[in-house]
Amino acid sequence: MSNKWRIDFTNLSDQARRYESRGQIYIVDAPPPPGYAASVPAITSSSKGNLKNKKDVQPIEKDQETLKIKKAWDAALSPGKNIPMNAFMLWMSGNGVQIFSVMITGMLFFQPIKALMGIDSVFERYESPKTRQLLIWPKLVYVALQLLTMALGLYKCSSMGLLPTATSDWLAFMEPKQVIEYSI
Amino acid sequence: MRRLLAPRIFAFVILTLTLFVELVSSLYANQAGVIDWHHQYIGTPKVSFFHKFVSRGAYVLIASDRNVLASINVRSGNIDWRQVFDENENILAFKGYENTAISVSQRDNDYIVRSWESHSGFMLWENRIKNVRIDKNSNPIIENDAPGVDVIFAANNLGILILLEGSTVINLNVTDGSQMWRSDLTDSSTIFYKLVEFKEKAYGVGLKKSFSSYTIEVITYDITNGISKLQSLNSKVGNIKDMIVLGGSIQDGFIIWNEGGFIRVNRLGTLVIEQSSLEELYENVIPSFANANGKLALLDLNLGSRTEFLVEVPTKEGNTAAVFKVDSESGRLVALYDLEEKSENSLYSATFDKNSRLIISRSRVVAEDVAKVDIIAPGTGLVLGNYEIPYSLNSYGDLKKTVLDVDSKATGYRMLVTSADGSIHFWKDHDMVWKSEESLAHTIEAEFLDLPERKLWTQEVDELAEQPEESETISPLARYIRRVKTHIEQLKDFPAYLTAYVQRFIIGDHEAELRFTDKSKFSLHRDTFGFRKLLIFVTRTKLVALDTINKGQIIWSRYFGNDVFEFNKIFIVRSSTVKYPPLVVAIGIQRDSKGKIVTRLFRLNALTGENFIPTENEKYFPSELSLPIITKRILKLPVEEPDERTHIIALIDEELKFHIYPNHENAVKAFIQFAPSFYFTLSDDIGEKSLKGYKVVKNNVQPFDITEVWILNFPEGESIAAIGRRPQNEKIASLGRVLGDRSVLYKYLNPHLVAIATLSTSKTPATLNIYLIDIVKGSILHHATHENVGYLHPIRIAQIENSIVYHFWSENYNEKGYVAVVYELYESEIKDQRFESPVFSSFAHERPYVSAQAYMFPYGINAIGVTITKHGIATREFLFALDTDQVFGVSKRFLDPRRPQRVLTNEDKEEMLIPYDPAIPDNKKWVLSYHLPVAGIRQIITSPALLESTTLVLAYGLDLWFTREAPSKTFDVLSEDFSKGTLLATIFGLILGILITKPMVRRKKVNARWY
Repeated sequence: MSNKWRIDFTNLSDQARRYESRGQIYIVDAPPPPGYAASVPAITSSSKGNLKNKKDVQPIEKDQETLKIKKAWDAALSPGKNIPMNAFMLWMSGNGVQIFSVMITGMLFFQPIKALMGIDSVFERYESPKTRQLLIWPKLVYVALQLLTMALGLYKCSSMGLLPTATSDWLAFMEPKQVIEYSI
Repeated sequence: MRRLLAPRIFAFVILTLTLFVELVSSLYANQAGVIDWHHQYIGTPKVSFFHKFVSRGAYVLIASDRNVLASINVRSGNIDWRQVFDENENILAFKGYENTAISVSQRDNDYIVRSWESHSGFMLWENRIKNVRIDKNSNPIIENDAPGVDVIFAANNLGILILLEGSTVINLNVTDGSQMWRSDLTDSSTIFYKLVEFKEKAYGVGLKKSFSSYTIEVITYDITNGISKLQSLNSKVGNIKDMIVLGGSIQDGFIIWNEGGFIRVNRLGTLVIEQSSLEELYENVIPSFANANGKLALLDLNLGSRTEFLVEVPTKEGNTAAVFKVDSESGRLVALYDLEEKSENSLYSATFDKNSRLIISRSRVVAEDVAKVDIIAPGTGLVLGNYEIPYSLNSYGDLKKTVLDVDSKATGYRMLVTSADGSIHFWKDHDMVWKSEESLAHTIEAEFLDLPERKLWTQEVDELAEQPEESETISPLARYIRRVKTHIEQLKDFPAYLTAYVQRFIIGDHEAELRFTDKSKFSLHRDTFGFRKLLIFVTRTKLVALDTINKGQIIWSRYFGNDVFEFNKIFIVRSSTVKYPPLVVAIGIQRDSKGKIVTRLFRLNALTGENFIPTENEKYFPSELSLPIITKRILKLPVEEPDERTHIIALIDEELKFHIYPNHENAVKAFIQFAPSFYFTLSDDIGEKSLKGYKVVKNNVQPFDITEVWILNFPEGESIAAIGRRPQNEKIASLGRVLGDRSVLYKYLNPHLVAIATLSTSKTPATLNIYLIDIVKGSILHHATHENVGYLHPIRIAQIENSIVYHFWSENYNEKGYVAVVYELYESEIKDQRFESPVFSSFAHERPYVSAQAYMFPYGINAIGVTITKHGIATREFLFALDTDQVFGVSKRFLDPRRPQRVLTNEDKEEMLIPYDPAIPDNKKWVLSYHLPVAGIRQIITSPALLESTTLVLAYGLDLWFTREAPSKTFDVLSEDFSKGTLLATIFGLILGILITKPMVRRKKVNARWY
């Protein structure tokens, strides 16, 4: 008695055990439920010792790594997206030394520092023995972008006159000249 | 400065503070007199009398040697009214009549007669009398300071007869001052002294020089038309003091003089001379005169028309006196009363009571702190009272003058007393009712003295003073135990401290702890903010120390009149330290027994006024010293002697010898080390025509020789009009000035720079020259000339840091008015450029760049002062003593040569510059002294408080006025109206809220877990 809605998993034909994924044909013990798209190949196929199947597994893993790297790049570039917004905020807050401009400038320093401290946790989930080497580059970009944000803060400080770059800033540390003669 | 990192953050902190603190920009009415105090003075009385008119009660009218007329309320001692004359207008005579008082003053060659309404001080009229013969050389016999000036009222004729310069008599209408007649005497050999008027005639009594003595001359005027007749009396008078003139008005006038062995009496208008033999007087009439051993003196009691007078005779046991009277019927001398008591310094004054009974007072100081007054009615021979009054001889010196007044029944007395130091005291019966420290009207110099910190517990002081080597000998445990003991001891003061703290917190008044009511609690120590200091004044013969708080109460005063003729300098030679008291040295001159001038030095403990005698170095460290030299200049050297850590004082005498004080071995050693790099100037006084620089020669023997290093002769006709030196206690916060683009102009800070203004008056209007001179090498670093300067207005110049401000009157046709000019000196005109060197030497040949700007100034001034703050960060303020008797503060931001004469650029705004305006605004909010009339300011001195924002300011001259000024507002203190209560209430409210809600929230959380 055959039923359209019933599958007998004990006596499956080869045809029924065929499973196609990403243009590859796999023979599995049981076909996945209809509509299921497997990202991880079934273990049974490898247990069968099928060479062809083994060859099939590697591209899948590579895929995962590329994906991870891609995601890592996304994460690395995300601080960059904030830069225009920060720049706009800085521009809006003006060059006066006021509570808001100082707070915003302060944030520009504290956020990158916080982010740099937590850089490992940001990239942790993209990490695997294979990707470890490759993650250096997104990390460097991430650091660079955070530094850029800080540079923005520095620029803000300098335009507010908070950076000791001019001679006047060192005036207070200057020793008065020692007077050689005395007079009354 | 502004661009610095630290000030920026500082500014930010300030800004956040301003959210909570309301800054006060000017004074509110209820703040007047809270931090400032004003002492009004009049000077030492030349003429003083009780003036009574109808129902207005009695008051004392005074004309003083500081050219002030004043009316003083006898009950309170307050000045009812005061008229301050110009410094060069001397008051010669002052007399009251009914509701007017007439003053005669002299200005240049003119005499000015003014009539004043005596109870209000309003002037009724003024008459300037010109062309009076002034013949100063022919007045050898006059010793009083009003040469031949007398004023009398001719009651029946509504006239005032005034004798001027011993030669001119004028009759002025009492109601409007118009001249009725005038008579000038041409004979210059006669000088008239007194006027008497009676029976429609006026008599002038004078002395005419004959061979060895003087002859009495009498001139008689017809009072209605001034027709005169001169008569000579057959007489020989040795001295003006041997003659007195009495009577007049309602009775006849008499001349009494001492000639040979007789007292002679002449009734004015006749040539009859009555005489009484002195011999008889001495032996029979007055018993106490029996042992007379000197010349008798006739004392006028100034009783108006009365004819009583006093004869004083020196005896071996002291002076004695007797009261005499000229009997107006017979014209003979009558002895009234023998005052008997013999003492050196008795002063007499007299008045009469309601029944025309003569009352005489005899006053003298009988002990260090007691004065005695006897009240006698000579007519009846009754002694009405003996009174003892507390009086400090050490503070005021002897009595100099007394003016007596009695009430209608003569049951008591009151008396105005002038003491040798110039102060006024008012005595009533056994009490001193009030006194006025008028010696301060003659202040020569004043200094601020920092007070020591509140004495720490002595053990701690000892611990602090311990040398490190000494500490090492004690075991650490012992030291620790000692420290803990000290702290436990100090814990005893904790409850008192706590209550004081709470009290202060509630009142919000930091001075509360210093306002003492109980004298025993009072000790001299610094307050938290350093607002409390001592002001040490040196007057002609006195030192006075005032407290800057407590309304300028006198802490100590000491009279030196017996040791010093006149003081010229005072120096603080040692400031307060933990262990040693602060010391001052006062220097004055005195004539020794041979009449030679000697210089006297006194070294005093500045907290008590007592001579300071060190415990160890007494022998070679005398606290009083007399040097047989006349000093040209006295300097406080910036070097200390090692024994007592006092600054060495240098005295340069007329023979150009250089003496140092103290002069013990170690001091000399310290000085010799310092001498090679020491330069000083002489002849740097107002009016000098050249300036000379000197240096001490290395000869290692005292007194040192000095050698002239340079001389600077000002061009022909120029003489020094004003000198501006940098204050020695100034503090400089920054070496440069920060511009808008954050670059720096480096300040030219030459400690040897002296700004000198000279006036050339050879042609009018005069020319003003400003020289900036380096006094080490005598070179002129900058020279400026102002043409058309009015020389009658004073020129004043002040220097602080790298800026110089001077003020003069410009006669230029397009800018006639007062001008203030400001200089700022920089090392270079170019930004960020300086003379690179770790040392400053005058010989380095560095010339400053001078930027200058001039402004029209709204007022004439008498002095310039500058605020000095602890670190010099707060904006400076120039304080001008205006000729309107006010103190006017102008911020340095307005007197700034960098004020741009264009539309402000961003950089200018960044530098916070104010656009140039040719006039300094006459902003009434800048008047620090608000409505107070601070008369006769000669000098304004300042001293920093412990708060950076605040300066202590003292203006002195005639009046004293003290205040605290915060030129950049009080940014470092919470304002008084900061509501601490609200703050506290908020905090407590929040705590309470937390306490209430905490269990509620917890319960709710627990409940939330259940469901």
